[in-house]
Amino acid sequence: MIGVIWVIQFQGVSKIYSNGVAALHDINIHIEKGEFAFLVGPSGAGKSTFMKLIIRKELPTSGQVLVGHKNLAKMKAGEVSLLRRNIGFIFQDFKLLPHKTVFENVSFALEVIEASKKDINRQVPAVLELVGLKDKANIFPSELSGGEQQRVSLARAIVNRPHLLLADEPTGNLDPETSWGLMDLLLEINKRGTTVIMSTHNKNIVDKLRRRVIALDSGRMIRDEQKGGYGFEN
Amino acid sequence: MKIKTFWYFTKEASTGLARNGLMSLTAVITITLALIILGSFYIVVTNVNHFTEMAKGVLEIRVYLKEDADAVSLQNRMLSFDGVKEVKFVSKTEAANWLGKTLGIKELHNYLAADNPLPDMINIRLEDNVELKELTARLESLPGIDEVEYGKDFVESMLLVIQVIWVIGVSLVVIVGLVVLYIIVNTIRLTVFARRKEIEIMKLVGATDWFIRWPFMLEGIMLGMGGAILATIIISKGYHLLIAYVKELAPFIPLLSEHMVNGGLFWLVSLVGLAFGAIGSLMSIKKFLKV
Repeated sequence: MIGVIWVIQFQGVSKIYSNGVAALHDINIHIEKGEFAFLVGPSGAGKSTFMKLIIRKELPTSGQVLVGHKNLAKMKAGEVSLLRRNIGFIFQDFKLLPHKTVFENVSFALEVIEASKKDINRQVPAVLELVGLKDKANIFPSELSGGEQQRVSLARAIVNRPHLLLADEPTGNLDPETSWGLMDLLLEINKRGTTVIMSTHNKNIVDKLRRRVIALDSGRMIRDEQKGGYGFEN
Repeated sequence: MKIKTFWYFTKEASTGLARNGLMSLTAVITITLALIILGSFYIVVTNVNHFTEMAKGVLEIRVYLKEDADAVSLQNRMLSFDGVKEVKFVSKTEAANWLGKTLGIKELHNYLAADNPLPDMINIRLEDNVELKELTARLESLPGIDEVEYGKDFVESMLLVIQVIWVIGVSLVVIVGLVVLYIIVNTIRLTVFARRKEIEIMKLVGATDWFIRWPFMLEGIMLGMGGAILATIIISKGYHLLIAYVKELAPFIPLLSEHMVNGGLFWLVSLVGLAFGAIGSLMSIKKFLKV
């Protein structure tokens, strides 16, 4: 995937799960490299499915998802691994490993793709410094606040310098002040060239930042606006 | 595979075993028991095979000749056949003498001398590994042969025994294999379940499926091999005792020595333990890789 221009395209994408739930309907969208896009909409609108299609956790029922002009449905298992090495992912519930320290949680992401010890020892401290957790490298996630845990999760997501960062309601469990701290980091990462797609219910953040807003409702795209607002009643 | 990666796999596998210590121990013991059944059967089979081969070696074929047969040229031709070790001509007079002596009737010779009904005969000693049926057919096709006789009943019953042993053997490998598989699947599933979050994260950050599988597979292989090694030790000790016991009580039973069976025993038991250990682990983890 190196050298590929990280354009994300949805072409007439629909997703119906095997249990009959129709999550997305005829989505057409184009996200350029380096963009910052909010994905908004009520619960069950299809935001998570949208994310899962990009990392190829799910395949579309019809239509095509292309990353760097490559059709994800035609990828082999090995290519999917390589794709994911270029995508960082953070979650509302952090998904940290409780028996590993902050450092180990971050280095884990490099170890399992067989990065060299040299790379690990260079990149992990650097990324922990970026998220402001350099001093807490050797403690366990349970000793951290929610905001700090999400920053560990972010460090893990970006330690491999991905082209794309997906954030699935990353501020969902954080208080407003901590949320803004995280947003500053996401904006900083975006400024360094990483595409960021963030799903959120946080009206305040969306309205203040005025970035691209993609709004979903009941699986349909109802709005795609540069410098948009949240638009839903909270 | 990088050395560092190999150590990582080994470390992870050992951690998995230790985490489910009691379950791992139970698994090894059960696998050992199952493999002991298989291994003991292997010992029986090799001994029966050995015994059959030996029995063939002491077998004789008796060829009864017609009145007008040319005994000398027949003997020469028989000697050229595969599997024939030596031939010996027994004339009807010698046969009558032997019969008279054996039965203890001295007059029999005199009685038979007048009109001896016994045929001339050629006794054939056989090589080991002879194909009896084939040889008998060739002998019967020679001119001047009346009848070919060998320990047919014995040989045929031995062949039947060997067939039965094969059927039991194959069934045993299947059954023991399934037992081992069942135990491994359930043991490894515990480890996999305890680490499903790690597996999910590994998948998300782009670890390959094989990178994720290896530690679990190693864990399954360690369980299987643990059972195999224990089973080999126990069977081989047990067989050692059996040999000593039989030598004392029934020295005429020709048991194979330990060093003749230990190698094959270890290979068979290890192969079953290893193969089903690996397969079982793969089955356990399959579902969790679909992330």
